[in-house]
Amino acid sequence: MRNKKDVKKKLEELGKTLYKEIKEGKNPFLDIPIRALSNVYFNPKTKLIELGDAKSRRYFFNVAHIRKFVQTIEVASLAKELLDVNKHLSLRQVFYAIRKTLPGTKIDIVEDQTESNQAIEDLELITGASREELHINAKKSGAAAGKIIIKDKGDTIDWSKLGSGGWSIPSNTEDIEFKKVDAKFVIYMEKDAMWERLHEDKVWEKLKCVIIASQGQATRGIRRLLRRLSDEHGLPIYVLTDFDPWGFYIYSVLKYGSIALAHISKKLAIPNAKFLGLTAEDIKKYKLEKQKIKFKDVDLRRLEQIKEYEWFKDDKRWQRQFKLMKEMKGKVELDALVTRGISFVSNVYLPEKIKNKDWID
Amino acid sequence: MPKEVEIAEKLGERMKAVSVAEFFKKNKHLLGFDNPLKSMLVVVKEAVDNALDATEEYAYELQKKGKEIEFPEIKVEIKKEEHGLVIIPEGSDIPIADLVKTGKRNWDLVLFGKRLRASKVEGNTKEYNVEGRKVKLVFTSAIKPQVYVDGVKASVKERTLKYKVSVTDNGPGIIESKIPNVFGKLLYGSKFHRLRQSRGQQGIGISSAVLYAQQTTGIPARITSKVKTKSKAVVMEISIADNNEPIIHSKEYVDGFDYEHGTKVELVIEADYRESGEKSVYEFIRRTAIVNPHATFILIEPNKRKTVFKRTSNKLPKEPKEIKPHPHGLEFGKLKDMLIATKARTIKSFLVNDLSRVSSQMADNILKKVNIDANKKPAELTRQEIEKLLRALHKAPLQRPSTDCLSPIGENALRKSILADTKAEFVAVVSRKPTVYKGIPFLVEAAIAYGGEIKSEGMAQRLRYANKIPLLYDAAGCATTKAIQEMNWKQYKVQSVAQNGVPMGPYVILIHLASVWVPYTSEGKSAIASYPEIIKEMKLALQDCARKLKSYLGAKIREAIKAQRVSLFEAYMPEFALALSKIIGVKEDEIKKDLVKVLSKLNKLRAKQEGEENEK
Repeated sequence: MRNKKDVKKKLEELGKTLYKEIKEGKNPFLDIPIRALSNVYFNPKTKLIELGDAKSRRYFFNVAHIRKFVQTIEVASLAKELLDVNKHLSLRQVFYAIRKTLPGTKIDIVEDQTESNQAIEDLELITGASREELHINAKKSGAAAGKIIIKDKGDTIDWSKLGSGGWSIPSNTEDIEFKKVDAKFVIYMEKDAMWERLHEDKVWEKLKCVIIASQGQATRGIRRLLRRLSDEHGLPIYVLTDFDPWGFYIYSVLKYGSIALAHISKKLAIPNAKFLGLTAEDIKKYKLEKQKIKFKDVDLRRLEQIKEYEWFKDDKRWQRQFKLMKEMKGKVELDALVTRGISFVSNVYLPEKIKNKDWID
Repeated sequence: MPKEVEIAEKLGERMKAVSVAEFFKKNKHLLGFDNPLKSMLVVVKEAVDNALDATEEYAYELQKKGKEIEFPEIKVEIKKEEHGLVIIPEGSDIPIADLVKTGKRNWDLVLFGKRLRASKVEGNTKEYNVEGRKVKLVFTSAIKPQVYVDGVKASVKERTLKYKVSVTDNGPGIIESKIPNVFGKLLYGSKFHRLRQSRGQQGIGISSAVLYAQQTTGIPARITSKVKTKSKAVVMEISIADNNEPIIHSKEYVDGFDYEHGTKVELVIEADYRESGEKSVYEFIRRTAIVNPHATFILIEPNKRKTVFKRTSNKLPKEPKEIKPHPHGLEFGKLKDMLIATKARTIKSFLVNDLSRVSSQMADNILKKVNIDANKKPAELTRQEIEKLLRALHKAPLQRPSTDCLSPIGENALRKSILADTKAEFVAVVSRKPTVYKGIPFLVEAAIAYGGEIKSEGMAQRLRYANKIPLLYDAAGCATTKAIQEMNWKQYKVQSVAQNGVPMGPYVILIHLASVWVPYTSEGKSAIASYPEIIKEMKLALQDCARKLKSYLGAKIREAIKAQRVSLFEAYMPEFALALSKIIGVKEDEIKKDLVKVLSKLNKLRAKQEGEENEK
């Protein structure tokens, strides 16, 4: 974890460099790494999607640059203040905090939230500090339960004693302290319904683990939490998804990072994540063929794209899944396991798969 | 050209076979009288064409004789006439007589403006003989009588609107003896057999308007003509008889005329009138005035609005010369007709004298190739021989036809005229060199006007012309529209372009096609067919204009940016200084002062660079 002081120092350095340029009579500028497909690549050594070195230079005295330049500085100034007073704002609140009309003109510093969001991402890229480290939070989402005790803002929280709702994961998980970790692994899933199934069955007690769910794509907060559990406590992260291209994609983002957030892959991606979701073999083994949902064109196109991902291209186990899925022309949801019994997933599927190390790495 | 001649000849043949009334009914669409609104435009157009041709010819005569030119002046006046009831027999749409109220329970029949005498009056019924048909009126109520034609109930309808169209010109006038034929005979005159750029190509002349008036209101055309050498003007009322011979209803001599000499045509027609919009008479006259800058037009509308479109040019356009048909543009039917009509005694002399660009040696070569005796009489060629000859003519290596049969408006005249009309801040004009397509010479002129008083809402106004005649209908199917839509306007700094490819904003785009034969898309003759060669020329003309527009807009935008740049920087500077001061703790004012210094330094540098560029 990076020290708050470091982040503040970074911001101050940025300001000082600009002021030095101004003092020297130069047109002040910012160098911003380019966030586009052209500047993103897969690093086979780190096994991460990373950002290249290409940068674009943005000047203050330039008609085309000035708007974005000032937006970025506005966010920097706001972040400095947030760090000073140790408070956090949401993305939406940041938009309002820097929104104002330049006196005597009709120019708004920002017109909508996409502009402020972009300015925040630019600042992340310039300073190397993440949004959360700049004290800017996104919406919170997701729940956790299991054999871990944490400390959050001075409160001690036992993830195994939080009733049916579990611990609600905040958008910023940077400052969470892990006090006692009895879990041996983490099961992450995208669907609430599956999480509630496992929670009701108290899987985390039986298997000595933690279960974490998001709704759809995992937020930065969840990804960072998983990464820290993997890094700091060496817990294996099992990813439980449907047998479909979108499920595979969720796994891919968690493990290798994404193009949009390539600049923070190093903090978010979980190279040790393992795929524990439904496989073609599971479908056969548990006789789920009849539960197949027919592919739409869009599903097939997605599958073809994922098949070509560099990190999957030479992976025989994955290519086998893609091939079988294509032959099936359909997908199967985890929920279909219910056809074998209400708690089949908790009592049979997960214990068997984990015992047999039946995952894809 | 062949197509037009063919249509005219076809019309002529058809006319011989049937009565003029029947001919009109069957060929209404060919003559352009599709609906009341269009009929108004066609009548005005025919009368204005006639006036322009007469005044121009006169002006050319004066110019040739070295006399002072009298520039054309054409006055168009449209008045609303009262309208009444007409009787329309079952199974027809043509009224057989007018119905006029003459008492509380009494109605009379009127034909050609004359009250008819009843053949029988009995109680509340009246009977008439109208052109061989029995018409019976039964008065049952005070509102309208019931009418029976040959015992079948007929409908009584309100006549559609009647208008009187008067067109007066300062041309030479028409000598008395010729008036009946010019106005009272269809397809009179030589217009159709001329091969030069002419307006007449679009309709079949003023007599078709006379016929339209006669068929819709029954009122004869009233022609006033004054020639310079006579002190009085002659006034004649003329209509066209069923055997296509003129009927003179009256003739008198009057003192005084609007001009020293000239012609006035008055027609009472059934039609519709619109005060504004694309298809209004106003728009037609306005657009005609734009491409005839050597003429003054005066329009007086039914609402008494008077508009004067003043002459903006002191030069007559180049007089188009007549040319003989070029072999490459001949078609079978045309060649056949020419062979029969020619005065040449041998086929060789026909080729050399009746066609253009065929030398004596070339004629020998061609005839030898197709094995036809050079001394053969033209009319004696067999069908096969004509076919062979035509193919050989098409392949013959001939010089292109001469292009002095075309009369462009000219860049200077067009620019002045558009400026006067649009009051634009910028006008680009291009008059392309003549080109030949399949033996037919044509040329394209284009103009783009921008800004000033041109309205900035909506799509650019498009002015389409063929041989100086505005095209008001079928814009979507016209080659001019295609040329406009195929342009990449954004490339020329036009900021906003509609989905269909037409620029949005304060633009007027004009395209004029001049040719001895304009290929129209249909018999309505309101859209130019999309031949690739024609579209290509149109696009080249537009691109030329657009390039000029681009450099004008470019300079304008640069000026605006320059002014904006400084104010933009000044607006942002305090905000930047404040934000930066919060990060580094240096006073806001101090940062601002330093920023001002940087800006003035950058501005100096910029000015210096621009100065150097200008010197280069």
